[in-house]
Amino acid sequence: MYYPAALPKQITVSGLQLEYFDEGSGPTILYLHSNEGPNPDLALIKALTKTNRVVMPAMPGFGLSETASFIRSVADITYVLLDLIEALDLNDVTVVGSSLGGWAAVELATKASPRIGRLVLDNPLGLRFKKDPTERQFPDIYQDLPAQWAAYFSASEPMDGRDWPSVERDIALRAARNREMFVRVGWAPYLNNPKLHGRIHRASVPALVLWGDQDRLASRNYAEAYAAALPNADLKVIPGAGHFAFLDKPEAVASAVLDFAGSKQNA
Amino acid sequence: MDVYFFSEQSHHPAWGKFDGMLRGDIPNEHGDPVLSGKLLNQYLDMYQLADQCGMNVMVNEHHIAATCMNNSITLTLAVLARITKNARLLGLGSIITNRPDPIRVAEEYSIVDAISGGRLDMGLVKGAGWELYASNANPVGGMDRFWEAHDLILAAMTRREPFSWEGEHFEYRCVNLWPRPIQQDHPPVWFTGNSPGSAKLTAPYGYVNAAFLTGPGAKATFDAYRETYEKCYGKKAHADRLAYLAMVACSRDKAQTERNIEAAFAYLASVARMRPAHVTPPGYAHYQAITQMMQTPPGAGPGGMGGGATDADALAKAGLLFWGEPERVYDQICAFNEMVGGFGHLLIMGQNAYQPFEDVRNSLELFGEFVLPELAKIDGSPAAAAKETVTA
Repeated sequence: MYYPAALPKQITVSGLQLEYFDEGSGPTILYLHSNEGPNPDLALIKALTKTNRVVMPAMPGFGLSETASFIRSVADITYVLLDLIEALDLNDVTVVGSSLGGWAAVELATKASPRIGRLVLDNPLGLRFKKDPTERQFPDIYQDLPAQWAAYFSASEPMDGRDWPSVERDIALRAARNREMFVRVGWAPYLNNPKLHGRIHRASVPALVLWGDQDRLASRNYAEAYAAALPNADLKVIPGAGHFAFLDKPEAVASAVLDFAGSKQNA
Repeated sequence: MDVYFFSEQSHHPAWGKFDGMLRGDIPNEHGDPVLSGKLLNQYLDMYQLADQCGMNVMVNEHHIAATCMNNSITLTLAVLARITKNARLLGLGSIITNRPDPIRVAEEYSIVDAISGGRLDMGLVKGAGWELYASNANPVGGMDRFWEAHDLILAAMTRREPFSWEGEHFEYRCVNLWPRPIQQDHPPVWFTGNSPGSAKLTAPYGYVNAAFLTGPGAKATFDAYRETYEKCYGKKAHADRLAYLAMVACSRDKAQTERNIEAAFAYLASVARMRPAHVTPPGYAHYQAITQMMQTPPGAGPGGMGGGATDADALAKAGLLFWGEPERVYDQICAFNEMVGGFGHLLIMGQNAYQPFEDVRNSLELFGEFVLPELAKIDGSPAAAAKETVTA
């Protein structure tokens, strides 16, 4: 069952106190969570920490991380992430981001920190390719209650039947803050940043785009266009995974990350 | 106690042509534009009649809905400013949370105040959840925008020199209101407030707090207002700081009364025809309130509007529909007024759903002749309220 979770560490960057996770040893992975928030017990995180150091913050406004009025977009969040990377002195980082976190990873890479070595984008949001203004890029999940969002995100069951009245208050509080921040940065432009098209060429590090073939939020065409928009990216399809491939097929995502990070180590 | 007549100005003939939601989803192909024009003119006639019967008038504003065609408070108020003589003109209200240009709101309200000779009551509201899908304003941070827009509108109405505004949400190089409102310093401000939390925010300003169809829950809301007001001002609030909206239908005819009651139930049924997410869009309520809702076991929360009332007597007792002969309507209003501790303005939904103009005319004439003069005698002064408390 996928619930948001408390993270063990605290750090203050950009004047904001963030909660974060930092475990394992080996080459560094910065993992950027989905709109449902970080959880160290996710199978993907457990798999990656076997061979790598995994740093996983709750991004500003998510979990119990602080936010501020100057943070209204995913691009705004990335300036805080740059500060985090520098504060922890992370180098040659493989940035892995899922869904909203994948969008943040691309925005981060356009800032061209020399500390970022490569990107793995697990079903990233963030771009709109449709030309017709009356055509949606993504179905409008905000016209459904958050309790119904699982149908868009996961092709399996880990989000169904979550029992919020029974969880500890601070876990429910994290979930409510995750939803609020997801709407703050995702409402309009809807789950994308139109300006990103003009900057994405700057995200020139090697990149791998993952797409779950059961994704109900983004199509295969979208994933292909996303990989093509990046200057140096390949696309890998994860069979049987929905939009939250990290949740539906964690082993497949973990081996894709580790294979890619290993093969591009000296890139 | 004074009275404001109100209709939601629905396009009710479309309701039966579509099986789904009447807000957001109902395609406008089910609306007949010629009929819309006819209905809108009928609603204006009703407002004019209410003025002739000695009442004030109130209009509201919604979008993307077959339940309320009025999508501009100030457009309709501008017409009413011209065709009514004595009525106060209440717009409740302009959805300033969602408006990208609050100065436009100040300008249009000023026009209404000018044309009407200073009869405007200026309602400023947060807006219902589904309005966010129409305006596309971000559900998160809505109250921050509301307060800044409020500050800006009041500054525009009260400052006498051009000024600039560089706020967090709005920026203007030159604010300079022409015309400025007749009423000084500015027209009376009204907020909707359906909970004690909202009333506590309204009371420090001394604005009128209007509760809409909240039934007995209005007592807690009004109590919160009165307590906060007394703390802020060191005196008791006059009842004219509080308003309550209910459905009202007068008739001495049995068949007509039955039609009136059916129309009220049809309105209540229409309220439910809305997507759950449109009631509370994600981000619309603060995350602490959302946490509370998430942790409330299913079925333990408050019930829907009407509290499940299945008959007209229960609706009257709950303060949702005052109905029947004028004497009976008067008694029902008095009982409810006592139950909630006294309010100074009764906002009457005097036309509901498909209730025809002839029934509304009859209701308004009876109400104006028999109920209105009696309600005017209810003393809403703090002294009267204190006296009641002592003798109780």
